[in-house]
Amino acid sequence: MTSLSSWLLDVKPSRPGELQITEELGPRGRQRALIGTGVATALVLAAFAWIIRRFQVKGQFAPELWRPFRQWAIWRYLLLGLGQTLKAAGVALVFALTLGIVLAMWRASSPKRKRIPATLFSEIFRACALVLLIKFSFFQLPKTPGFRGWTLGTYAFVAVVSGLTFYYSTVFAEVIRSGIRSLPKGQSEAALAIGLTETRAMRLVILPQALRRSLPNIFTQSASLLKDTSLGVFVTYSELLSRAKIVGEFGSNFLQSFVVAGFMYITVVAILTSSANRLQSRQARSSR
Amino acid sequence: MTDNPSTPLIVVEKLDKWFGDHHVLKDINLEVARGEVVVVIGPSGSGKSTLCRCINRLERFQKGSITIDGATLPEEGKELAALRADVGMVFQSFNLFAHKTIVENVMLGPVKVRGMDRAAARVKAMGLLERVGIGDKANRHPAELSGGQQQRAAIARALAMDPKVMLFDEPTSALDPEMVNEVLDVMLELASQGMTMVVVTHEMGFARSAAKRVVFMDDGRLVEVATPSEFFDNPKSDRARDFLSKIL
Repeated sequence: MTSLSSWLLDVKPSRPGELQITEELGPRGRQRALIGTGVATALVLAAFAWIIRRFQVKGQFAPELWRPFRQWAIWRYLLLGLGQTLKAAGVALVFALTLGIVLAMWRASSPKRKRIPATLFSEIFRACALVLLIKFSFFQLPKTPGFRGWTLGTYAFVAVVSGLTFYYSTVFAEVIRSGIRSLPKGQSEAALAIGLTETRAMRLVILPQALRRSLPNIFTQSASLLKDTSLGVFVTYSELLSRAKIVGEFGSNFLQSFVVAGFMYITVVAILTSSANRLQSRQARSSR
Repeated sequence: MTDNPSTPLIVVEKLDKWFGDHHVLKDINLEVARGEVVVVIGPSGSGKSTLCRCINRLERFQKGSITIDGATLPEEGKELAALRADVGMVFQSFNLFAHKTIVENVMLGPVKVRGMDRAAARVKAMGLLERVGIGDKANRHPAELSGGQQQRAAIARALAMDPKVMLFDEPTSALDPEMVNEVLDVMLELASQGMTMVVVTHEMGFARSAAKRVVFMDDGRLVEVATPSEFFDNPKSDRARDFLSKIL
């Protein structure tokens, strides 16, 4: 018990250069923390227990409902869907980041002719519900000259990617802009003082530092972007969630399919997060 | 561009600047000759840093004109950038580019502004870093250096552009006392080599030994312009006497 409590109460060792807000606890604090941890753990466990109990009551653990997931063909079908999810997320991420960087640069620059359009674009697309952007692209594209005659799947893919691009470019722009703002003014002054133009100072001195500072936020938002590909379900884009739904329809086991799909999302996001953390700690070691 | 050695390198004429309602520079007139070292001193808030920053237009001013080497300061764009390339600036807070190593900091201007090739720029940068005594720190990042070392690197970065004039905006004010001299030594050496320098500082020792003229500012005006010995031993204005009595 003492070893468990000391493990629970161990304060995270501070690394050099890392902000430390947790202070080692005193005797009363330790007691309170132990009780709090106990209560919280009990509540979480109780919630899980209740869910499992309900599953049992409703017969959701019946073997025939889970049997489809013993077939490779079903897994293959879902994994291919996951591939579609990753494909749309990857393409949208590249476009959204690029556009986001341009928007952030324009919003941070001094000439009004750049600042105003960038601000307008950001405010409009950030306020729009993402699903609307996706649906709008999906229904408008086939009517737009130059985009006619594609397959339905292509329209769906392009709609998902463009919806995500429009929305997330404004999110990334905001994240990067706050990175730009967090830099000391002296950085841009020094860049101008050696004779760089405003644009080059931005590109060579400000942006690289701002991007590095916004990397944690960019990763967080990338995880959201990845999950938001599931909105493709509204435009028949055959990604993970759509396929989980089809599997559920086919075997009358929606709940089981969605649980499986849920775990697949969790796995992918966990991989993304852990690689983000690794990258960050490596970066923290290499600089400063 | 004229290269006539008899014309002054910097001419400030009837300069006025306001921050909102606050009149920070009032009718400033000043000429700096080629090879001259001018030290600007005065109480904080007197406008001396602002004057220094106006010379390469890091601050905009509302009235008057500044010419450098016969050319009027351009207002913006590529022309302004080209002029700034010829004017070296050293800041109070060093402002080294935090994401680049020391040698990359020094190389950036020559490569990107002067179009020098990287190998040549590196040789030049290393030479300058040796000259300011931090050749061994070339591949470190700024945050790994002491304040004095960072400021010397910043001086090397400015020198890499082969500037016509160097502006120093309180270069030792952010330093721990034991590091002040290593920076002043570099500046003294520069002065002795004939670099034109405008130095805003509180280091009276430096003003005495290196300055050709001392400019005393108070409340946005040039109150007194004199040689160091005149100024320190026999200040004419009351305000200068008052200021000196407080700091010496």
